[in-house]
Amino acid sequence: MKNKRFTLTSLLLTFMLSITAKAEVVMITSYQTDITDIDARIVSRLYTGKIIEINGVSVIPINQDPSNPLRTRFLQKYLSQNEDKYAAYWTVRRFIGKGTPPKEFLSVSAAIDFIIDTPGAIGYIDNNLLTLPKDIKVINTQ
Amino acid sequence: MSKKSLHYYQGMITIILMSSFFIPSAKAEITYDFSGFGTLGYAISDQSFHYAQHIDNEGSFAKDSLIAGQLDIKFNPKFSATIQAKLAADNSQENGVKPSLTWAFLSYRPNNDWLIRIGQLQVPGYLNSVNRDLGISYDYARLPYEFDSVSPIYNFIGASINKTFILADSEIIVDAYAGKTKANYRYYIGEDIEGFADKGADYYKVDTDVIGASITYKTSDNIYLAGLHRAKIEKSNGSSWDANVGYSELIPGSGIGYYNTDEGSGTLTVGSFDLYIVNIGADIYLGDGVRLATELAVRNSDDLQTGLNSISGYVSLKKKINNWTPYIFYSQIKTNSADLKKHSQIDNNQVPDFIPSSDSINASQHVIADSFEAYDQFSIAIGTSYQFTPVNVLKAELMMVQVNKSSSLFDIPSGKASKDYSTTVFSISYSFAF
Repeated sequence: MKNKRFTLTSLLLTFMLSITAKAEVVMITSYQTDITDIDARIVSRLYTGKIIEINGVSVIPINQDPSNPLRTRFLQKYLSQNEDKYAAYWTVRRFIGKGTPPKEFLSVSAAIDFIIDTPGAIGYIDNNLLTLPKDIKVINTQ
Repeated sequence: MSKKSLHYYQGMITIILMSSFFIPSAKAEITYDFSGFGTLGYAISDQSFHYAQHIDNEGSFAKDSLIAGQLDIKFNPKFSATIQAKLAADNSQENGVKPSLTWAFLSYRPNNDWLIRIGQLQVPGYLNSVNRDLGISYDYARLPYEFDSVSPIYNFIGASINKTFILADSEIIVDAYAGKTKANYRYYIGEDIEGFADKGADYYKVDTDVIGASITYKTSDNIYLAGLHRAKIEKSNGSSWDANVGYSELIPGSGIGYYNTDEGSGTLTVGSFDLYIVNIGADIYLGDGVRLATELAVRNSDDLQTGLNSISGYVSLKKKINNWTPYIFYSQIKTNSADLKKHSQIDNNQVPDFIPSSDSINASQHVIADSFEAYDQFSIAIGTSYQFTPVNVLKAELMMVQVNKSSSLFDIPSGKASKDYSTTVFSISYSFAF
């Protein structure tokens, strides 16, 4: 009996770990936005204010609040930066008149609501988000 | 602040705020962002005379301290506006503080590559010209002054166009700008001559038209740039500039005479003069946390024979070690040899005592030399910054400045003491942003 319990617990843990391991930050937008693919380099340029449109489509990058661990993973994956470096980058960029950082949201659901309502808005989520709203699509990242 | 300045600032801010009624904001709402930054900086030297207007052995917060606030308005991804105002030492007089606008512009970005800005802007094209006030953006306690003093103005009202060419792992940015501004041009007279000149600092109010362009090549680690700038400068009161300094012989054939700008002395005048600046710069990552930065500028006017015709530059090395970034730099400015020689000839010219009013004539030579200006100095600095966070930085620096033949960056009395001297400056500052 003990062995069975141990096996079940192990399987459950393995399953949870495998979900966690597969959790990946993916880019999203609404179906209203005519973008299906995005290059990781383009994501980096978008979130550093260097571009404002992708293939002629005007875009609005959406960020999570700095306290959200998802943002840390996003910055690491797409910009190869940590929060300090990213914040420092935008602080300088703002004060030399090159614009303001992407709009930030306190929660993923608030960001998703904004993306649904705003054509051109692009954000990111964990790909293991179980209930992706029907108006939202995952953009293929190359 | 004068009423005229107040009206100007009110007008500029009103235009920008009113523009929100006319610029389409589509579905996304207009966003307003408030932010600010500042520096509390103290500098003290071992000399009683001023360096860079404010620094002497009594110590001063005036040179490096400032506080600034900024409002960013985003109408939509393509249209935005920025207003940045600062409170800092008043550059139109010796003491006091003065509020001023650093940025106040409307920005239009039609696509990824183009950026058009209209309003109050800062001169681009140098490594630190658009972030001079932003202490958290560089590690030096103060930008190398020999180089930072090269541009006659850093703000103007006008327009700029910026085109970015995005390459695989790098980008090329071309900036072009044009505009005008009113500025105060400070000079120092090191001797009193009754009825002719007063010892001390004084200011020309000048109207300046600027135009320029620069090209910048950026990789993920390095920056290389080159720029060409022209400033057309005229006195606001309409009076002329002396294009050169004439010479009048007192006893023909004796070699005894004096330099002056009187009619008949050979002095020519011009209503305005063009000052050209050509500059190059690089900021290069050498690996292992070490960066090398260097800039060089040649400043020249064909319209004036003056010490402003000069070459200046600096080279710095810094290494990031966790939160610390120790650095050293060498910085130099030197007037062209022909103009430096002319300055020495004027400054050293003395008539014998038997000449009537010889004292006044001899003193006038120093005054004319001071007006002619000359730059022949270098500085070596060692310092460090300590970053508590990216927006909280403490800096300390020890700098030795050596003047050779003369330097108009110092307020020093005329005479032998105005040559071949050195000063040590200690600076400490805390910069922040919020």
